Amino acid sequence: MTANLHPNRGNARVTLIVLYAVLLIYAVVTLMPFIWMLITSFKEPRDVFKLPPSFVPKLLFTDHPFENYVEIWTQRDFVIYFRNSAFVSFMAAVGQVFATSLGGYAFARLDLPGKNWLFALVLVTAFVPVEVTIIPEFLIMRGLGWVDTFLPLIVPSFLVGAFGTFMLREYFASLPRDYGDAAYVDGATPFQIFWKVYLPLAQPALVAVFVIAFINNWDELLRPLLFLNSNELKTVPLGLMSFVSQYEASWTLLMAGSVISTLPLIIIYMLTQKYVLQGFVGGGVKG
Amino acid sequence: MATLSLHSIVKAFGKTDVIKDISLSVEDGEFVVFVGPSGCGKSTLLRIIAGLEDQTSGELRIDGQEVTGKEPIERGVAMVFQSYALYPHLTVFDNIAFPLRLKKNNKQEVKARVEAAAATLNLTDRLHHKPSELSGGQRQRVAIGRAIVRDPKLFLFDEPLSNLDASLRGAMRVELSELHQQLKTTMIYVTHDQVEAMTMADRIVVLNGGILEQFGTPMELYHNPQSRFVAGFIGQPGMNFIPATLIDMGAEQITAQFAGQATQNARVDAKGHSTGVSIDVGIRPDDLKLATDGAGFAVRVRVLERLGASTIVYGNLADDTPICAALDGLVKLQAGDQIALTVDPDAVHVFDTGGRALPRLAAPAL
Ligand SMILES: Nc1ncnc2c1ncn2[C@@H]1O[C@H](COP(=O)(O)OP(=O)(O)OP(=O)(O)O)[C@@H](O)[C@H]1O
Ligand SMILES: [Mg+2]
Repeated sequence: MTANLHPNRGNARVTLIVLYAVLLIYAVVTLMPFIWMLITSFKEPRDVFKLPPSFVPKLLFTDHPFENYVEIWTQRDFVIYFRNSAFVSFMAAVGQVFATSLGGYAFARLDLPGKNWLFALVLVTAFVPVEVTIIPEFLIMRGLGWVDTFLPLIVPSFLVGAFGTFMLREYFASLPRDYGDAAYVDGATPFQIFWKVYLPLAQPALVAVFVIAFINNWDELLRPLLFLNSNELKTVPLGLMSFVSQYEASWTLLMAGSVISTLPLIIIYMLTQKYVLQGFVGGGVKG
Repeated sequence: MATLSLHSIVKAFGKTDVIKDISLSVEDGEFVVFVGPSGCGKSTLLRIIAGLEDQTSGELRIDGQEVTGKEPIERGVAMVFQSYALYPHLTVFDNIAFPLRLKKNNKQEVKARVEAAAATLNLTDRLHHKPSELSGGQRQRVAIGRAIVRDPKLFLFDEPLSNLDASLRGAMRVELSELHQQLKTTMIYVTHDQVEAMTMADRIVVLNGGILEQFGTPMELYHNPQSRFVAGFIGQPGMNFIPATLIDMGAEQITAQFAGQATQNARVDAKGHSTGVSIDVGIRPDDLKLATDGAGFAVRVRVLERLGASTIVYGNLADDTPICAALDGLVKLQAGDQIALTVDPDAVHVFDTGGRALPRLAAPAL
């Protein structure tokens, strides 16, 4: 009887095993560079390219295990880079939440003539390669006198964001219309409806947009490289680059810096994972 | 407290007219129910009154003031939605306070009014819970609370009880009627449930396909339905309609023939009609009785539903026309029995082929 009820039980198990095997391989392949990075950050420079490669974080077994970390943190300007990155990424992420929540809400809920065309236009910007826009962007920023300030890295995020607009439009559209109607009948203005009713309900999607924007800006190399010259304005990716320059190649410092620069992203993601997932799944808010 | 009047209201979505020329006026303090089948335009009409939709043409007055183009808040209306539309991120207190806080009332006053509303609705111990922690009936009451704190001139309800189970719905019906007696505010209530309409309304508006079929008290609609649609919609179980031919017309009554040779007299005014025309004879199940003396028309019993106080008999006439009768609870019958049913000619309704009712000559005084 049982066999008849579950004729595919054997097959299902095989499928599951294959699935896990594939996922395991994928996990190893993606995690390998991180593990390598972590190990290298605990090595002495001369062991980095030793053949055959060693998986031993040698420094951990000495009396100065965090030597590389101590060096970038105290003798190089890594603290400054870290602070700059945190500031720029935070501001840019705030900007994205600001711009795309307004834009997404307008596209989802307001009656604007031609709004679907406008929305398509916003989406299209996501498909234009940076290489095409970066030179005009540079010229504009130079024209504004913003070169060698944080403004080129922050201000554009307050203006537009294709991904966030798309995501929040979907999210706002998934929230019941009755909330807005009820608030309108009770005398709320369109802005109050947005601010007091829909924005709080979109919290998971707002967090998701914030986190994604933060990560993107944290990782950004091209724009800081173009727009920032002064050492005290440099961000983490620029700082990391300076460990491997024409004159020196401190791979162990680079790896230690990379580990540090990855930590905030991992922490942020772990703290907000629940919201981020919910933000992607949509507004299944219960009344 | 307000009067409401609609003059030739039309609403089109694209090319389809959803509301077709509706005029009616509601008295101050009345409880009026809009009833009709799904999709007949009840919600649309309510949303027009609320100011959530603009009518395509026609005039809308509240307290004699033209309100077309005015915001809901200027109209002084409050609305309770079928979904309740309680804000899930706010507590019961904050939900009820929401309309008050929009108007910059001071804190003490907001608190006092919210607490008063909560007391009226038995919600005092739920004030600091989120809507998701409430039962269906409590959510319903919060939605009503949010409407009554505003002290509106006109309450609008869109199927507020349709998400509740049957017993709770019965209890909430009574609560709403009591609330109306207490507040004496004009209320417009939309439902597709004729029982709600009959039990709660001062007057009922029957809508069908965007057309106002009839506007009257529950008893007027029950005893003097002006159309076949209203007759079939109001009353439980629904009226029987039997296709018939008008074979004799007198000043006091007519005679209809149906199901082969069966005849039935009806006290209606057939002015303007002539013998030989097709009509529908309408008989309420409650008006049918078992014939004793060989009179009446033959019915073969198909199914019996014993409800205790009454027994609902589903059967067929000689030509298989289905018929339903509500007989005595203890009636000794079983499926397959051949019986004869009669009806008092005073109680018979007659409809012409266009579905219009012929005026009754012996309807009870209302
Ligand atoms: N915004 C709209 N755009 C187009 N058609 C609409 C719109 N709103 C309603 N309709 C149509 O108008 C008709 C009446 O809708 P309405 O919601 O008023 O019906 P209802 O009587 O409230 O029905 P129900 O009992 O199902 O709630 C329906 O055919 C519906 O499809
Ligand atoms: Mg409706």
